[in-house]
Amino acid sequence: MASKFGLAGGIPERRVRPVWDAIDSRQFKNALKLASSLLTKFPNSPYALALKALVLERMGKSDEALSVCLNAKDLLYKNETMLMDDLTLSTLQIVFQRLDHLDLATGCYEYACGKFPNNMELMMGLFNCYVREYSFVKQQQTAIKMYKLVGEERFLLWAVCSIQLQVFCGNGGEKLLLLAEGLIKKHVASHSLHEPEALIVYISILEQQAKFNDALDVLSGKLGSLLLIEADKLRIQGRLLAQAGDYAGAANIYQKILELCPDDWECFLHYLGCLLEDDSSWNNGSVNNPIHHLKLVDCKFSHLTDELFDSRISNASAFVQKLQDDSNNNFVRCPHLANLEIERRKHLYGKNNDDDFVEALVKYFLRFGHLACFASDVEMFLQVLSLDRKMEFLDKLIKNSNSLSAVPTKVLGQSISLFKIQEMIGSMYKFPVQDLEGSAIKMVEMYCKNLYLSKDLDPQESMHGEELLSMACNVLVQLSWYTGNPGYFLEAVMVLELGLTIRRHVWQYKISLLHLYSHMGVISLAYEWYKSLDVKNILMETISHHILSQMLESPLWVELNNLLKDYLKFMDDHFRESADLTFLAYRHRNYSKVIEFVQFKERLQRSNQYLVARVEAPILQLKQNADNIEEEECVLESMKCGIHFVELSNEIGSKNLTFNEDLQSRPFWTPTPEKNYLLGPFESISYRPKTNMTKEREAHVRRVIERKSLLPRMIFLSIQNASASLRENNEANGSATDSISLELKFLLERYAKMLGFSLSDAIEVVVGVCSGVKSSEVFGSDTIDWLSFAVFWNAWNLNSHELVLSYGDGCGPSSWHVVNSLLEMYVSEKIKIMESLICIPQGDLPILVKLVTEPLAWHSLVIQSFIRSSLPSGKKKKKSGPTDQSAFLLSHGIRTSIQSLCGILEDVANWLREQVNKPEDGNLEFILSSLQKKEQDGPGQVLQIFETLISSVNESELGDRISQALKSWSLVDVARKIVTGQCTLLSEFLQICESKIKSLQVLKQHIVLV
Amino acid sequence: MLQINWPCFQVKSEREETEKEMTTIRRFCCNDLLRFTSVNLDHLTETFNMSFYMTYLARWPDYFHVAEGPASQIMGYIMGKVEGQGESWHGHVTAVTVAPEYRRQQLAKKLMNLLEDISDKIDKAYFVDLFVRASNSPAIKMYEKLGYVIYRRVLRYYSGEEDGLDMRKALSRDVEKKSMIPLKRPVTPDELEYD
Repeated sequence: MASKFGLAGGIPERRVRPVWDAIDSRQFKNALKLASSLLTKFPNSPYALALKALVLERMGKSDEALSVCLNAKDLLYKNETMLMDDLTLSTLQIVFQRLDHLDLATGCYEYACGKFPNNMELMMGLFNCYVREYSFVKQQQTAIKMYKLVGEERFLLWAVCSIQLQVFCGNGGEKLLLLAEGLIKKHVASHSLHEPEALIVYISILEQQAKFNDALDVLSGKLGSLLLIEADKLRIQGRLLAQAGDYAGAANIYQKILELCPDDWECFLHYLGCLLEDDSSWNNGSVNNPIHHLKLVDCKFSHLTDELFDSRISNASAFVQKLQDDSNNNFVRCPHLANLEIERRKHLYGKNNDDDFVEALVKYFLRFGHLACFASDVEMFLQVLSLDRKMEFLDKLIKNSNSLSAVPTKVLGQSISLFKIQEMIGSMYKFPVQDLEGSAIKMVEMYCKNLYLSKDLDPQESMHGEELLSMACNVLVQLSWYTGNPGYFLEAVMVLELGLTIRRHVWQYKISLLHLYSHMGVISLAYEWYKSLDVKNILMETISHHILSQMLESPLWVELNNLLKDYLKFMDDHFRESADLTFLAYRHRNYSKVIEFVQFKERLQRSNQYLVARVEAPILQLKQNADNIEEEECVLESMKCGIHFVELSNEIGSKNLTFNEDLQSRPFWTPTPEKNYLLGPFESISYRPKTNMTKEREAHVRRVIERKSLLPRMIFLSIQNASASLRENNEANGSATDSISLELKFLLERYAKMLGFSLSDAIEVVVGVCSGVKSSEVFGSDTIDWLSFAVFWNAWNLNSHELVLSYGDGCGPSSWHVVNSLLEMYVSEKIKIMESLICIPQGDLPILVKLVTEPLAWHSLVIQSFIRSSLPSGKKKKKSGPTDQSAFLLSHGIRTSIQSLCGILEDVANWLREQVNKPEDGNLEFILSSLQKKEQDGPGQVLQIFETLISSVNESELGDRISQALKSWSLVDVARKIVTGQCTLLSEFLQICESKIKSLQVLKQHIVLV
Repeated sequence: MLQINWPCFQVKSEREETEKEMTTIRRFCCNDLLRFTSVNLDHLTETFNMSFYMTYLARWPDYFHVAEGPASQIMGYIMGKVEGQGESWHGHVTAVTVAPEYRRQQLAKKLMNLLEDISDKIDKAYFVDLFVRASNSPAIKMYEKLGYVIYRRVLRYYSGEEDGLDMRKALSRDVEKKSMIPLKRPVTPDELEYD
């Protein structure tokens, strides 16, 4: 309709085209000119207005764009004779959407559809609006209307999808599915179905109601021929039969699939599950599952008799044998792995089959042991064996591996698999120091010896034996943990740095290195390596965890800000565009994707990491601007004074969080961002504990978000309360002040409760610790939270009419004093125990950074606020000011506080300067000497292997590229890089301290003037 | 709008041939985006923006497949589409990638064969094509082994710097394999018919 007779929105197309062209070529100024002149010719054309609005929006003039859009909307509504065309509406829709006014766009379409009730184009536009708003019920109603009008299959399916969405993503009851079923049935009776996706939706509707037999009837009827890929059809059939309880039938079907696709592992598991009448494989797959889980570790089959079990298993074995015989392809692993699964099931059933089991494992090794995936293939089977049996397996492998292939890459592959199995079963974990050293040496020797195999490889291709260095690094870390000798740790760093000199694209090395550097506290280098991973788009959701938690504690604010900003932008962009993509799936009749897209968006919205980032980003802003109260107030205003965050804090307990991080790539010693085993003693925990830590992580994240999201509001209220404290005696503004004070008190109560105390008890604790009556150990690991609590309590106290304890009345310490001395106590304590620049693990720098940038910064804001309201300002007439006794005491408190904060910060700054200015040589010496091989054993042996290689590089053997890379290696350079990296970090922190000192000094001068 | 081109019927033997190659491979779904990290951290594998992946999923779900390993880890995936008019109606491989752990096991071949089969038997396309960096000789060699030929060179196709090679393989509908006859001269990116 839009361009009927060459008209666009009622305007001849030739007049409109120049505007479009200008927009397309991003010449917005020109486009605006053209759009404006178009408007002078067609002043009453909503389309011309919509175009102008579009251009304005692109130019960033949101307010103007909105007002032009609203004009256009009014014109549309007024002009009764005007044609309501989709081009005008969709243009308006685009602008409204970009201005976050979806409701207005929907309103326009609703109005238009009301005017022209049978216009399909407008109705599709309206449906699209509801898709954007996630209004599933209205989507359904609109689709049904369209279906009734034209009777097309696709509109029926749109309605059915909308119903499914109500059930899965909305609050619609499952009874609605019956309605959907009825709709399809009726349509099938009169028109049948014509698209495979429609059939799949139909079957899923039946399946969701547990009407498996009905679904089977549909599938085996005429409609079944819609599915062109036989195996796909069989898969559905097998699943339905199994769910209907017809295990024998299902097993037959799966057998058929396996004959077609012998490498389909999942299908084999279903096949075996059906034979053994075990339905556990149908009951997983919830959306909230962590992204990685080992499939089908759990299974149950208690009810089969011994005889029946044996006969079924022997059927399975015979079938697997047949599959093996049929496939002479060396790449088909499934039928061979199937033997292991059969042995595993026997083991779980209680058959004493360990010998057979180990035998099957060895056989699999002989066939596929050279493949890089061997270890991960057999991992889940090893889990069920006892340690003794595992060791027996390992022994057999070692024996067998001596008589192996003559192909060097295969020999290397098998040797690597052996190491991996050792690592996996934890045998290495129990090695004495010497054996561990021996293993690391062996790995690195093997790496060096086989370098020649990669001589002719493209530099982009992964090299043979790359994993050896990762494994050697793990052993070295373990040695360092075991012996407490930092030399091994540094050696691990060097091994990986060297590996990256040889080939700079190995992401596994980069990730390990970034964690090693983090553990040493050299976050700047850790971040460098993270950046080199080029993490973007969806990888930010799955990979950022490697660096995010360390960065949150670091003074690298610019980098942290980029990290958070990029991540949030990615997520928010997706939330914005996801509905349009959902509509695309509707339009292309890929109905199953509609549900998938909506569920995926919800999954990301509930991402724990996303919520954390949403809280941390504003807190970072608050930290960055805390030296200037005016700027801080602007920041606070931009976040609505923290109100939404308080809501988030209230809701977080009931939110269903998702954990989408890919934790598999983390080093063994830090399986989650919250855990670092190296900080604890070396105990005999199993080497690589693979427990599911989601529950634990969930509790942790909830706690963090609950507390942190209170901060912006508490900071805001503290600032308000501090300035009100001076005014309250003189102004009739009492009620507003009271409400601030009341709200702050309420939040303090909540904060105290999170720390495990009532408000009065928490205050008592704080005062007790300050005066030495209580040990500071009561703060536990929550020191920062406790100090922040003390700061906010003081801010509240300034204007409180309640005297909770004895302070403030002259008998006990004032709350100012409490905060000052707590900060002093903790900071000086930290500085005292801070060690030299390079230490493993890192010292208390992150805590020190937090102390200065959080509680101390919030405290300085309270002071700034207080002083500001006590100063005469240009416009405001000077308030009568602090003349009475209590005000005098307060201003005295302020002076002392500023003095005290300055002193604390000077101490920190001095320590930092001392570290930064230390001659580099001392630190270099520390690193190099810890790596120097001193005796027969100890750190340095692994590096020596490399040194020997480098000193006698054979260019013709290793090729030009590898030889050059080896020659360019310099241990001293890397050591220097570490020292410089640490200095960068400390310098950043020093700058933060200096800026705070400067701002406090300005305050000091002000206060002299008062 | 996508041209829908479902065949009316299929010869049985043809169908069976299709399935032989399908093995452990299933349709890619959104959750796989959260699971493909170890594949995509490889620097040769591009991680596109979300609307790119989701547009492929919404429009050509049959051309986006993933291969899963025994512990349900992602071994590799292929994404592609079908487009064009008349005799240039063809399947296109946008990306195919295999995790380092699973290389040298002919997985890429399996994935490519799957896409070719769908283009050939379901969508009745004339050929399958793909673009590859002119410098990526390991990949070019692999495609040649799979029956692709260099149809033409596209000058400065990759970020205006590196040349791309347009490689093609004819399908059964192109009986005379006309689509594979190499062009004599290179083309520029704006001469390309499709993005």
